[in-house]
Amino acid sequence: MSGKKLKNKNQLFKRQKVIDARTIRTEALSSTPKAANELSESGSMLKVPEFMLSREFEVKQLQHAIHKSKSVSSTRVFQSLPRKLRRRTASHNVKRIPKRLRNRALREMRKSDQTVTKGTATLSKKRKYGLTAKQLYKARMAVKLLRLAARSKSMKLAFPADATASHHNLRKRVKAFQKNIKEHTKGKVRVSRNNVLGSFDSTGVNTTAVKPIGRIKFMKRQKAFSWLPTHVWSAKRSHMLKRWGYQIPWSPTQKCFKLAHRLGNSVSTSDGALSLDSSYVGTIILACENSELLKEQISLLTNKRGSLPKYRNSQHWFEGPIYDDQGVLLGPGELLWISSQKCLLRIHPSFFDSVFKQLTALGEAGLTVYDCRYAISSITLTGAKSLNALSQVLRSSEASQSYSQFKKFSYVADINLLPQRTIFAFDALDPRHLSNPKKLPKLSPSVSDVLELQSGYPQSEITSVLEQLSDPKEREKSYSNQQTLKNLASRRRALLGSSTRTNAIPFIKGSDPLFPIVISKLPKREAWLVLIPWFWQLPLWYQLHRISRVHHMGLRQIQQLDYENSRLFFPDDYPFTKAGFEENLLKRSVQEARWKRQPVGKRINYSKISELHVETPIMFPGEVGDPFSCDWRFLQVLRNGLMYLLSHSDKDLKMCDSKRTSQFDELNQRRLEYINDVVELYGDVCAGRYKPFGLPLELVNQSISRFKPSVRDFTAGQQSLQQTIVSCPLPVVAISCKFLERGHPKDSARIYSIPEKDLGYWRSISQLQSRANGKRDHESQHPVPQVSDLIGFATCGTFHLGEGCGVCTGFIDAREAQKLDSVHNFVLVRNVGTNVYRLAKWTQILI
Amino acid sequence: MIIALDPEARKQRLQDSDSRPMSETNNGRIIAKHPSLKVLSHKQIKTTIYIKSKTPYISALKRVSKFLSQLPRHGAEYVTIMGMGKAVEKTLSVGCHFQEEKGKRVVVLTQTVALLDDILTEQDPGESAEDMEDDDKETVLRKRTVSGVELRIYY
Repeated sequence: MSGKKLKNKNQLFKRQKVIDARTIRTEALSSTPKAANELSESGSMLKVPEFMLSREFEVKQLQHAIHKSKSVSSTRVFQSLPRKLRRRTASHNVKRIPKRLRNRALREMRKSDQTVTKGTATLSKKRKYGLTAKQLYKARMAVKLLRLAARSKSMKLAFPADATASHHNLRKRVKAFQKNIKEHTKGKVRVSRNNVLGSFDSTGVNTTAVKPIGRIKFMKRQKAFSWLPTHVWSAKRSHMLKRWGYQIPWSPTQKCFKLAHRLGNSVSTSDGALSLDSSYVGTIILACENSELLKEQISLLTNKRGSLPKYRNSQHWFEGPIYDDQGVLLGPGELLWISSQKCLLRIHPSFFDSVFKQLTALGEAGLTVYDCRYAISSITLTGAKSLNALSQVLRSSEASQSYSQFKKFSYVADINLLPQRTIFAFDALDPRHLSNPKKLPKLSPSVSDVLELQSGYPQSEITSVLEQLSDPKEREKSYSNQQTLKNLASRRRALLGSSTRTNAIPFIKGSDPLFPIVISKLPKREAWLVLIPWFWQLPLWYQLHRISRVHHMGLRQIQQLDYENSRLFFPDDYPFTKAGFEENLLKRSVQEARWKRQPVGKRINYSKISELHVETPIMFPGEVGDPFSCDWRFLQVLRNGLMYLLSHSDKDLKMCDSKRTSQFDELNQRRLEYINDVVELYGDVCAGRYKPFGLPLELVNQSISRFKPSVRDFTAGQQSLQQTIVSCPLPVVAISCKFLERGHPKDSARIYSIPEKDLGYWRSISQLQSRANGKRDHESQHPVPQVSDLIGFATCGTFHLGEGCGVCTGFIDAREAQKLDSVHNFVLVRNVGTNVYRLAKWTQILI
Repeated sequence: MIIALDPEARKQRLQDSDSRPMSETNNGRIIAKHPSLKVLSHKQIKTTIYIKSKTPYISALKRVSKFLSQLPRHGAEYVTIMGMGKAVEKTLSVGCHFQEEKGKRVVVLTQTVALLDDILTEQDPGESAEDMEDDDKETVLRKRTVSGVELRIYY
């Protein structure tokens, strides 16, 4: 017998089924004798209707076969679920499968002789045996601690200081709890919480706030990096990032690049929402009796912008750069004036401490600084459904104008339609009162309603809610009688007996808590910001994510959305700040390590890239500057050096003098006469001969047509010429480049200006250059610029799904940008390690 | 449907548009234009295409065909294409393609779209308005209407 194995009956049956499903029938020729006559060897004429009918039949059969063979190949029910709903545990735990498919799943599991589990086995059973006496004691003590903590929480007691101190051991902690509870029963310790959930308000008045430790079980894990309120939820579903003292969701575990593009942007195809727990952004409340002093302080903090009447009197959100007291730009921040004597400031944690220190230093002058990092939390929502999703879970107990406005606009899909100042603020019910998120009746507002929304801004109402949110006592009060899930479930059960069916547990005035909530539009970021007291975040978050098509996101998605809407993302796109510059260095070391790990033959040899420039400087035979990052120091030295050379020589600039090598003057300083000398000067900086101070860049944050470049004389200063060139920061403008050709930019791509002589050529490219076959020619040999034409770097760039072409965000020399702006707005972009230049158009980004 | 203007009115309109560019109207400067009002509905989102003035013609055709093939999934009868202002002509030519080349039933509806613009308000003389960027100036919304077309392409 040959090697072929005989198939059993079942296999043969299955095989036949597949063959049957895949057979495609065709229409037989009509068997009438007339039809037979029509056929000849050379074919014959057909009638149109018959021909059509026959093709239609064939198409239908083809579709039928596709459909049938698809159903024949599918074996298990969980394979038919969409990717998003697939669970690895679904193959043995039926609870992971949607209810309507569960019966089928059970049948299939029984058929394949699987063990069926209906849930997880109790954990205590697992660790019953195999413990030594010591281990058993330790395990029991740990359990005891948790029990005691739960008990003291339900008695509305605060955790005793000894129980939370990091240097105490387990036994001491247990003792502390026991003592506390005992004393309470004797009446010595008074109740210090107003709810059984352990929620409290942790605000620092002129001092930093104390971290709320959450559950005592997880206390030790938050020593270095504190958790956001939704940490446990997020950690199960996202990759986390440990930075700036927080653990922040970085990106969901499931791939979501296209999803974020589709849902997160405000486009007509978005039908969902993306949400981020943005509580890591630090909140400060500034209050001062003397309103002039506060105005002055804010003006100093925001470089005279945040105190303008638009923000101060009309309650618009200010979104812009924050400066320290020396006038150095720190990073982005947001500001909202509650009244003329109070304002709310939200700043990034990387420079929170320095700003906080700066503000508290003025404490004696009557300025009160509330550190609300762990008292006010926030959710950022983007996408068309964000307002709708919020309206499905938030209910107000009292009739308020703001809430009715919120209800009215809950179906509006586009955030950009609403006026710049759109704030909804009201007292909301516990979202857990609703057993299910429920849609509000659909209202379709007209444009005149939007005008009404603008004119009928309920300022006093909103201010009063903002005052409530910013007041520690009011926040504490909002937690009073906050209920456990068990309480709510028992109330819901009691409702089952009543005749009227209702989705929500009725609100009892007086005993049920209300909390202040502020939902406001951030016009520049095109996102909704929800501000709530810290311990109300989690109930809202849970309910919000029960709504269909509401997805969570991480910082990576924020970065992506910022890129797609040409905004700058902190810190990656802020190289002119300290945090951004350090981020650039950090990314550099990662890139370099990755490059070094590869074998020599497989990695790009950066020092051997041909035809990069017209003439190559001696130091960089291949790629110029550092190939692993945006080399801002190189750009600064190059541009400053060129500026000096242009102002001190009448002739055209040359790369180098072939007759001599570089020269030094009598003070042993490098003489600067040629472009190569400037590049060598950068080499000196790398070697440590000149120590630059300060950051290499400074941002020009005004429209480029109004920028007045200061004429710098590098020789005038106290220091040597070389030291001045190395230390003088380069003014740059933030730009967004859009490719006019094929290809896409990558991170840290190089941006060049177009040399005068090649401008005609590149203009012809920008119009159209096509080959004989009618298609565009991308392969032609382009003229190559000089090293001295390098004007900037791209901080992030990739293929833009919305534009359908390559787009990058970058920074270019402001002086050069102004020169370009008057003539054309073309630049050339080249990726690192390649010699292909692509034409791009730039527009300025203002922050 | 072609809206005919009498020659005098057309001349007047042309002169108007020549004398002042779009961004400079007689009362206040337009800082930003807001999009048209869209209300959330899953079925509509999956069957409506908004044509922009810079949408490539072929891309629009491909997109409409894709939407047409997905119609049964959303339980809809037709794909809606919307275009206003500069994009009206392109929208109609997309409709023509499906009517003539593909033999689909196309219904054309004209409509008036109300839009909102951000207009600079009068500045206080005390404020130094020169060194302020547009972002920092206060604006109000003003209504503007534009005519547009809605095309329904039936399966």
